[in-house]
Amino acid sequence: MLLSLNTSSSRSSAMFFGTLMLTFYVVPLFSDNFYILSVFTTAYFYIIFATSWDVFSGYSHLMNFGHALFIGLAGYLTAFVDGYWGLPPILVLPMCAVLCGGMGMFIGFLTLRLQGPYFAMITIAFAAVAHESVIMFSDFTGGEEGIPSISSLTNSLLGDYYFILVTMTLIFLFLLWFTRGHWGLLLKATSQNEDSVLASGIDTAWLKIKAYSISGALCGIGGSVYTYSLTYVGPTSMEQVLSTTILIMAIVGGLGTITGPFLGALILVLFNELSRDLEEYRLLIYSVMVVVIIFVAPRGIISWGQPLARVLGLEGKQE
Amino acid sequence: MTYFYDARKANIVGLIEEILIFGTIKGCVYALIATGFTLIFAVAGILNLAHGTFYMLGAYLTYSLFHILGIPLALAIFMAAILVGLLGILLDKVLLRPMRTSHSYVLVLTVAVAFAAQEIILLIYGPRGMNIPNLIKGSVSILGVMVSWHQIMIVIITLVVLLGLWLILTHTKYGIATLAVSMDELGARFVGIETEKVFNFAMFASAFLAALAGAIISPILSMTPTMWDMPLMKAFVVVVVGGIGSLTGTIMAAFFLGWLETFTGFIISPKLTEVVSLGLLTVFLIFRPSGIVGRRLN
Repeated sequence: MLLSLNTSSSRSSAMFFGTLMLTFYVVPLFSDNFYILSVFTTAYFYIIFATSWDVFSGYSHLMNFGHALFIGLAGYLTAFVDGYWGLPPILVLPMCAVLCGGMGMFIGFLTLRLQGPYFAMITIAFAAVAHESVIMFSDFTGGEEGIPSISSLTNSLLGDYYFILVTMTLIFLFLLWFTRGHWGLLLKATSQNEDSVLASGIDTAWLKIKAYSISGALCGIGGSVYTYSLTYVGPTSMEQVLSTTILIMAIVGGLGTITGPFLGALILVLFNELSRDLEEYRLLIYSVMVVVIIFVAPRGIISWGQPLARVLGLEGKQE
Repeated sequence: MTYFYDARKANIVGLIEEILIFGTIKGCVYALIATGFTLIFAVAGILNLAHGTFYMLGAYLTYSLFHILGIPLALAIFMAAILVGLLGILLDKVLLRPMRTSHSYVLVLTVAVAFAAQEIILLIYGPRGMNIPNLIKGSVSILGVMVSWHQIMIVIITLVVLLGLWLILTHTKYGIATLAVSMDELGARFVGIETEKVFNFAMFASAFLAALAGAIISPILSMTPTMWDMPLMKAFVVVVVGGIGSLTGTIMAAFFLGWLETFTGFIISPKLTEVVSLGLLTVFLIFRPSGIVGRRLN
């Protein structure tokens, strides 16, 4: 893990991610090519999705297979609010966060109080039924075609770019703060030995429900910005494929680290752009990749960071 | 999935008969899928998200064996189910065995397998929906409701297979060992049961049942590479409603869900058929998480 309690490795990883972020902010200075900027914004969306997935599933080891439910919910809410009232994005984003957070709380209330394999399955069930219902109730949702012509974020390419980047940065920093402190420790402890956390007088069910709700709310914000950026929402925003892609990005990056899914999402989105010819094999490659990663590096590619830093001499000697 | 839909009857008795008959046929398919799903979970603790994939592979293998190799349909269905059963064992041995202790990795691995299989099927057969012909052509009128012979065959096959499974589980050495492992794995090992062999049997039976369900439904419902996700979800709903790990509960819940969905589809609106299962799941998770049969969970 890059950001561990070890100060020297934590410093090198902070340097690494700081540089990366800075690079993102200066990219438009070198190129205002629409294609390049759109590749980067796609990466930012997936970073939001993958890190917000990680804050619950990565830390509690309860797999969420329906993260796209939040993206779709936020997307349709955005489309409705924009279509009927035309509110500005800055008001719509909190609404999406509240809706998705509430949905997370509801699903969490149903399953996280129980012991057993309920959670993973109910996330699949909710996402599948939501996807199916969106196609069925086409009077409201436009069915397969979805809802087009949603107003854009800021009406300018650079404005959009920075809006998305700032949203992503804020969510990333919030997640780092959230997981590196009290909450992340509690969640990790719960996943390892729930009884001992319970014995310390902490309501673990409520803790998990809260974390899942936060995961949903942040993904909802991401989903809303995503919808604004596409100016379109359709059943594809809720597909099982999207949920699974997010999950694969997070696992390839490294569970329960926030920085891992950040890297995983970035690398897979770039890989995806570089291998446009392989479009039809993409999902196949992803699924094989995750199987290989689980066997070769179950802690994700982020776990290669520390040895790599040592080899490159970036890291000071262990005191 | 309004696949058992027929012209509405004007009188109420006819409507009830129709709901019962078509609900039963639907329930049969759900029972086949869900029994396998709960079996492998109860025995090996594997929550197999590739279970829908077995269902899909059953349909596609039958199609290939029948249309390409020209094997008679009934034999093709049987062979496809056997092959998928063996594939299930292979999946368990190669991918799941080293990771079996970690629930989260089993889930992720099986979901990765499901998507890989979907993509491979898409590459081989394309996205177009395909069908195989009915086992027996023609239809017959039962209580004034027109039912095709194939649908009657679905009910007969389901009853025979589930009865067979019950006999195996209660009257053979293998079956009793399987039940023992599902109750207490460590205890079963102490009395000399080879758990790996039992896992093989459970995985085979589980994949066999799912493949059979996929094969016998595909004359009615066309097969596509994405056909696996709804059955998987239905299997899960049925298992929760029936009580996790209980075979009798699972079968009862399968028919209950079949009837309830058909009822909703006929009386209220066919659009709501898919929402029914989610509503049922929510109600059960709030008020009775242990299901119809089964002990109260923590």
